[in-house]
Parts: sequence; structure tokens; C-alpha cells
Amino acid sequence: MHKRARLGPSTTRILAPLLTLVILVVACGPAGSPATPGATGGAAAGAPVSGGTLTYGQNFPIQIADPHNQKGSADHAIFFNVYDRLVELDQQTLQPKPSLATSWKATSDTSWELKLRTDVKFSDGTPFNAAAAKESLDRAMNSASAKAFTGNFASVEAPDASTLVIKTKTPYAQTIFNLGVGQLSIVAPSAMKQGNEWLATHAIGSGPYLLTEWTPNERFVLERNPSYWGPKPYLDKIVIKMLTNDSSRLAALQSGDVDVAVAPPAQSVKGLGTDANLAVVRSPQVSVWFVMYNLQDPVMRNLKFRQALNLAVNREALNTQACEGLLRTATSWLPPESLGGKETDPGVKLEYNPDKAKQLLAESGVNLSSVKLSIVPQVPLCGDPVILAIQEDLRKVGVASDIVKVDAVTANDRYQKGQYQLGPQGWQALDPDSSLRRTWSDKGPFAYPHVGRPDFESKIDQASSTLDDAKRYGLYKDIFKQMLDEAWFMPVFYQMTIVAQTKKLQGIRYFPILGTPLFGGAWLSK
Amino acid sequence: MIRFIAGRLLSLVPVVLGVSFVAFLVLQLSPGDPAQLMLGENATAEGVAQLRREYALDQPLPIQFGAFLLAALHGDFGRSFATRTAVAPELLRRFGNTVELASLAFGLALLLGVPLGIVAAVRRNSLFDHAIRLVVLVFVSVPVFWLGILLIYLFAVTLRWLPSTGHDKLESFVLPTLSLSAYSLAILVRMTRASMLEVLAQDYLRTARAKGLRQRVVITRHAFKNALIPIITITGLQVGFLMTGAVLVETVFAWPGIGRYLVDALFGRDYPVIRACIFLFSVIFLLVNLVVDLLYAVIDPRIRMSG
Repeated sequence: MHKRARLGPSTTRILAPLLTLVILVVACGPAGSPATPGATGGAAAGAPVSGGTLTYGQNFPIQIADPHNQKGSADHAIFFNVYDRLVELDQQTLQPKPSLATSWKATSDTSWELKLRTDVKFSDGTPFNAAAAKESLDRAMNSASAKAFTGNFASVEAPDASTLVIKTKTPYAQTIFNLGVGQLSIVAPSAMKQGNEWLATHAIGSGPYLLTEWTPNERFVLERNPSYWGPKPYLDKIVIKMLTNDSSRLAALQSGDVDVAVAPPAQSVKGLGTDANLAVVRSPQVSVWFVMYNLQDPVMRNLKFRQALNLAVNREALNTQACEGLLRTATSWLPPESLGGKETDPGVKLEYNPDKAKQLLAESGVNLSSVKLSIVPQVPLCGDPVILAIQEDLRKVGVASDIVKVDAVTANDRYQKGQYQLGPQGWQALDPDSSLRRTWSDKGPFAYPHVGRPDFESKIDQASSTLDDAKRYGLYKDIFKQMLDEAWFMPVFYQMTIVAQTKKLQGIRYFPILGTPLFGGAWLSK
Repeated sequence: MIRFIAGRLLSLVPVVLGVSFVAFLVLQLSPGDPAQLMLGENATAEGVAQLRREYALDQPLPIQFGAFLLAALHGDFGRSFATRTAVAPELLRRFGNTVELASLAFGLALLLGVPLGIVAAVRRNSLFDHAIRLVVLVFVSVPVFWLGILLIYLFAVTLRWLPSTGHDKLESFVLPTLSLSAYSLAILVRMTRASMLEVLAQDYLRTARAKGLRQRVVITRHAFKNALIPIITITGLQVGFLMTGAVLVETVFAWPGIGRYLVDALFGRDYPVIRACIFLFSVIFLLVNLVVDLLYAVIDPRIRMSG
């Protein structure tokens, strides 16, 4: 029998904590990465440089390349770079500007005439003309996904090669605006002939880039379109990588695997600021995040109760503490960059006044001790802390609440069935008409707030059919004033597109609609 | 033996059918309208109705199930609600990616784990044994996604030796494999060690040593072979687990595998993808179980004789 070395209990007692310490030290390493040794300073500005490949780390999945069957919010990254639209929406105001259409006018209450460019070819050489535009719009009109924008279109005619006539079912002021959304991108007829399944993963458009590679959920490659009719794009190639996990997307940026990381976690943004090679870009996004009220609920029907809730939450503190000051606090329903956002802002002052809230609660007649509001949240850009902070603010004025955590689909189901009282959630808010019809109208498929007011529905219809801009904005202003005065919801944030990128990247624009990257004017400095 | 295999393969059919039908039922009962989800924020009542017709979502359940089975027999699992492209090719591609990763990870776990377990058992209570058991404890407790992020920060961000994410280069395999293999390695070491210890205490081994056989022969030919049964059981379970969804590793490393395919489909209520994945997974588990049972018969003559 030979003697074996025995590991006594005392040795184990030393080994275990030692190993734990090593692991902790490695794990809690520096949050930011050291700058690459020997990295060139990189010109801060200067003349644009042609050439180079940009690697773009995307968070939300890109599902489909077919604009008329758009599915995911990130699909627009393809639509806006590979395709053109008849109009281009302005970056600051979303007002339609000429693109494939050079001018337009309303020839009657329900008829619009557009003049089109005659010098544009699709990337396969086939010509862009009114017939092509008609075919593309017809396809969009038949598709379920684009119905939100084509719902009021009755017909599209092409009387000659450079004239397009769009007839609407009822007078519709936003007809031209709708032509600028991604879902109404102009697809080449030669592409449409290849069928729906081909179009799901390929593209023939007239935009600054070509779609050259499509690996589902992994990698999408855009290459410069040599026959683009507009200003020549600087970048040779853009590789879009799908990195849905926040931490690994950030790590990919810090390790140099990607040049851009969309939506870095709010807490990491400060650390990124200390990295010499990286910059954090903030750009307005026309989406809103707010607390929806179930207006049919017995407790929430009480006007003073709702008004009290709106006074009880400190939005500024939510922004600075939970969101690192990255977002903007909301003052109305529509963000200022949306179509008519500035013109329709009723200027209602939203204050934080917990004392006044308590007073209103007392006047409301609601028995607070019997109230436990159910909060069914969709998680905001900055995560759970925002919801907890709202709950805490309500508790401070004596309103108890319960947070019901379910997945997004189940939450939507609860909203639809009215099984909630507070529903913190986010929506796009591009323009007054679609945002009211989608989020607020009882006639739409959602109807989450359960407004239950026929006069509200007729006001929406009246406004959307008023072709005169000033009059129409006045009508919307009245609608929003009522919604805010009567506390139909609690405005919280206007969204911002937040992107961490290499300082070498210049000239990239993040479109206000969903933060879609526009690669056309972007370039990489040496 | 042939009859045994044939019988088991035949029994696959009703089981897969049953599992698929239950999946159908559960999807039907869960909240969320796939047609509305497909359209997202831009849904209109008209659009939702149109999609429901196009995707036969308004048909009664038995008809939908029948159509699914008929198509599945031809290898057609329909088109994804999200991407409008065929499910079957994408399913195979993703499954292939997962198999690559799972084989490497499990191969590593097996090649390292079993010998380490044997040595730990043989050198019980030595410094080596204690060190192994400590490492095993860590690997079994550490959440795999945390380990993954840790490895990324160490090797990709700080040292820049390896790529952080993705599936493009040969080097991309290293970190995901290490992360994925940690848990299986730990389980295998533990199982092997425990099983070996049990066998090492047996009388027939004392006889073998008394006969004059060298220690190495005693261990490999006599002890290990008898310890194999529980190890094979664990192997089967681990393989099943790895094949069907190293979701967390796939998410952290942006590895386009089948785990994430299913999870994304579940969140998006992408029925065709969900049904196809569940179909595939039930087949995998049944086949793995069959192979494990066959291996038992190969290893242990007693089972062969009585079975």
C-alpha cells in the first residue's frame, strides 16, 4: 500500500477563496476598453473620403427585404438604403421633399398629381417611370402590411411616363406624406416579377446601395450602387451584423469587430465617453414612451384621479436617474420632429407636483386604501428601473400599485382585453393621423386605451380630411389639448436614437423614423 | 436486435405526432394573434383579416394540423410568418450551425471530462482530486451567459486574440465552444468520478489486482467498462440538451443556431417555425434515446442477453 499525498482541509480552505478571488478580479475588469495601442488619431472632420467598409452592429432583427411586406422595425435599414421613395421626408420636420417625384399638387379633394424624374434607372438597368411607380404602389396597396398607409388610396394611374395620379377614397391630407415611408418604397417591376419569396431576400431598387448578401439573422451586406442617380455614396460596402445581445454588441464594438453598436445599454454610455476612439451619437426619434390609461376601468375613469397621477411622477428625475439623461421628457403626444409636431403642440404645462396630486386625489373621491393599480409594462429603452421609479412616485402620493411582468405579446393581449389599469409602453408617432388611428382609435385593431368616445373618432376623421395645413394643425392641436387636459395618458419620454460608433465614422444620419441609418452620406476617415 | 431497432423506429411516429399535436394546441391556446404580430404597429383591421386568410389561420385546428402533417411528409414546413421564406431550409441551416457548435463543445467535454473523472476517482482525495472538484463546482454553478461575456471581455476586448461574436471565421468557434462545454464537462467529470468510485470499491477488482494485473489494465478494462452505463446515460441527456438549444450561448455570441431560432419564434408567435422546431426536437430526442439504449446493449452483455 503506497502513501498518497492527502490534501488536508486547511489547504482546501485556502484554495477555494483564492480561486474565487481570481475569478472576481477577471470578471470585474475595466468596464471600458483600453484604446488600441498605436491607433491613429483620426481626422475629426475634413473632406469626405471615398472608400472603406463599415461594419454595423444591429440590435433588432432584420426580417425581410421586401418593403411592401415589412415586418421588423430594423427592415427599414435595407429599404432606405437600397430603395427610393417618391418623396423623401425631411430629417427635422418629416415634411415631404422631392425624391423620385419632383413636384406634386392636389387637383381635387381626392386626387393628387405627381411629376416624376425621368433620368433614373433601377440597379439592373430597367427604367424608372410612372408605370413602374404604379406597379410598385399597386403591390403595396394589395399587401396587408402597408394597409396602414395605403388604406385610403383608391387607385394609382400613370397617364404618361412622368406623371402619376393618386386618387383617394375620401379627402386625405397626408397622401403625399405617406409616400415617404419605407413600406411604400419603389420596387423595380423586374424584381416584382421574380415573386414574393425572391423579394423577401433580394432587392432591385434605385437607391444608393445594392443588397448583395442576405444571411438570415446573421449578416447583410450592402455595396455601392454604381448607377445611383444621386450624389455618389462614399462607402464601398456596409456589413450589417445581427447582434441582439446588448453586452456582446457592446463588446464587439470595444473589440473592434464592429464600427457601430446601436442602442448601447444606458449604463455603459458614460464609460464609452472615456474611450478615445468611440463617440456616442444621440439623434431624435419620432417614437414616444408613455403610460397608457385604461379609460374604461372604473377607477381610471375618474378625471381627477388621472390628473393626479400625471402630477405625481417626476419625469425629469426618471430621465436623469434611470436613463442617464439620454432621452427627452415629453410635453405632448407628438414629438417635435414628427409631421406637424411643433404646430400641433397645445403648450399644456406638465408639472411635477406631488402635493397638488395628493389634493386632487382627495377631491377625486377614490378610496385609496382599496386601490391597487395593475401596471402591465412594455419595457422602455432604459429598462426596468423606469417602471419601478413610476411605481415609487405613485406610492409617495398614496397610490399603491402592482407590476405585472409578462412578455410583450401577452402584455398586448391584456391591453386589448382591458385587463390593466396602467400600461407603460412605446409607440411610433410619425404624424398626427396614423398615430391617433393606431394608438387611440377604437376602430383600429388595437384600441388599447378603450377611449369610447364617438366624437373623438369623428374629430380624427375630420382632421385627416382637412387639406388646408393651418386648419388641420389647429384641429389636431385641439384634440391633443383635450387629451392632455383630461389626462387621457401620462406623457413620459420622446425617444432618442442612441448609437455608439467609431470616431472615424462621419456623415451618417439616423432617420427619425425608428432610427434607421442612412448610409448615403456617410464616410470613414482614415 | 434488428427487430428491436425497427420497433423503436416505428414507435417514433406516434410519439412525434402526439408531441406536434400538443404543440399545436398550446399555441392555439396562448395569447397573441400571429396575424396581428406579423403586422406589428402598422396593423389595420383589414390587414389582419387579409393575413389570417392568406395563412389559413382562420381554419379549424384539425384542418390546420392535417395540412401541416401532409406538408411535413414532403419536407415542407411552410413559410415563416416573420420572413415569409421557407422554414425547412433555414431550419436545416440553423440546426447545422448548432450541431457544429454542440459537437465541438461536447467533444471537448467528453475528451477532457471522462479522463479527468477517472483520474480524480483513482487518486481520490489527492490535491489533484480536490482541484478538479473545485473547478467542477465553479463550472456547474456559473451561468453560461456570464461565462460567455467574461470570455469575450477577456479574449476579444482586452487581449484581442479572438473575435467577440459571429460565425464567420475558424477562430469564432473557440469562445462559444469553451462557454458551452463548461457545464457538460463538469457534469461528466462528476458522473465519471462517482461511477468509477462505486466500481473501484467492488470485490472483483481486488481479485483482478490479486491476479497480478497492472493498475492501468485494471482501471481501463475492468473498472471503466463497468462504470460506463451511467456515463452513457448522462451523455445522452447532454447531447439532447446541446442539440436543441444552447440558446444563451447562441444569443451572447450571435451564433445563428436552432435554439435562438425557436426562442425568437416563440416570442414572435411564428407558428410555422415553432411547429417545425418542436417536430425536429422530438425526433432528435427519440433518436438519441434509441442510440443510448443500443449502446447499453453493446457495452453490457447482460442487457443484450436479457433484452
